[in-house]
Amino acid sequence: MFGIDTISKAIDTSKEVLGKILPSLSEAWNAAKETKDKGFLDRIGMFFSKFKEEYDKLGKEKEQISQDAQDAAKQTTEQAMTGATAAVKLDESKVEKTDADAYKEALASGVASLKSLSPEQQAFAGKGFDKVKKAMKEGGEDHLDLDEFKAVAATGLSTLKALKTKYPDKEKLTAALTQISKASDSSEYPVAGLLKASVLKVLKPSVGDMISSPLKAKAFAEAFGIEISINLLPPTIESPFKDAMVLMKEKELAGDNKAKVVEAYGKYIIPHTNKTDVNKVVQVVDFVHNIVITQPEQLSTDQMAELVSLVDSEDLDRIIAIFTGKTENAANVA
Amino acid sequence: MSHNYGDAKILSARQQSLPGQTSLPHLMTITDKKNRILSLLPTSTIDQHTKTMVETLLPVMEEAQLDALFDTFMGEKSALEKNEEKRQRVELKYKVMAEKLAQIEINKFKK
Repeated sequence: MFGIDTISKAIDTSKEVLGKILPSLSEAWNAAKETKDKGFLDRIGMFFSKFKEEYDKLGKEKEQISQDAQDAAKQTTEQAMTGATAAVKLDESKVEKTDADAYKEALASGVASLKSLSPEQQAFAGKGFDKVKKAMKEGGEDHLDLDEFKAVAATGLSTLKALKTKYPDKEKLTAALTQISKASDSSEYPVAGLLKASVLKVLKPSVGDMISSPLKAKAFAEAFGIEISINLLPPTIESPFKDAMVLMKEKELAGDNKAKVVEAYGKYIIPHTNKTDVNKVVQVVDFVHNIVITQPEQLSTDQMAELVSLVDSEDLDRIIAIFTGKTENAANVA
Repeated sequence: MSHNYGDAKILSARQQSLPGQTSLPHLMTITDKKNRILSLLPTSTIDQHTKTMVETLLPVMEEAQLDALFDTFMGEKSALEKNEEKRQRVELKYKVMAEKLAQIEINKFKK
């Protein structure tokens, strides 16, 4: 009924499962071979074949349990991101699965960041993202107002902070951002498009909004420890941060001027970041200031990764807290 | 929900609990549910990408979504435990049968 080769294969397969083959079975096997007892060989063949059949059935059942859990968990996470998934519309047929997965994980961080905002801030973020999308698709300079800026920036920074936590190594962070950016080329919000100078420009809150909401502007600046006077309109930022802002507008930032900007950034914006890294941050920020003037350049994913890597995580948390209004003591750090 | 554990299995899964915790969703706070899901996640057999998605979105999930995930992971845990019990029973059954089969052949050879 069963050839010796077939039985041997069945035994080899079963050895892994049953552990060490029973010594008595080996002895019986040798005895049957010696006496050429074909009946035993048939019985043992049937035995292992039946065992394998039952064992494989349990293996398939286990696979099905995993698959069911996988499908159900996937369905729930998709429900949790319904709005965002519809908004970004990633064309998965054009993207490798690993790239699509990385993109979806980043999007999930974005959704979690967005939903952690208050309902009012979520509404501001929605309006802000609409303006960003408009800038990407149609151009124009419909600047975000201060509330929209804070909500959009908090969502973006929280997402980047989550990526930084996942990839503390700068090289890996850069690789992850590049992968996400590549996948996003097949979505409604390509990262490359978001980093264009023309889009970065609209992110900057409009001066008009600062004038119409001076108290809001004052509270925002003071959360960073920056003094701002609203006795005259537009609100006047006090030195030394004002000096830094003026200096940032210069085409070439170097020498004493750069040192002043680095000092102001280290004092007000990223107080937990070490001075060498603040210096590098200012270099990238200066680049952004310059490209906003000299379009159509854009910030690269490498530069974005560098910025996120350089800024101390505590500073990222502090800035996010200021943007979301979840701290009253942020200024005390500065 | 597309899984096929059946309501009975889900109810049975809900009746399981970790020490010091209730396992009945209507008695659990949202924080309890999140903690329970997080505690079930490491041993779940779903792929790493889906685990990351669950972990990332968990803080902002609605209660109905938390309930669905809780049912999923408790159902999976319970079903896998039963599958493991069946596997052990099958192994034992065939070990005993193999031993008997061998003994008969050895005795025949010795005669």
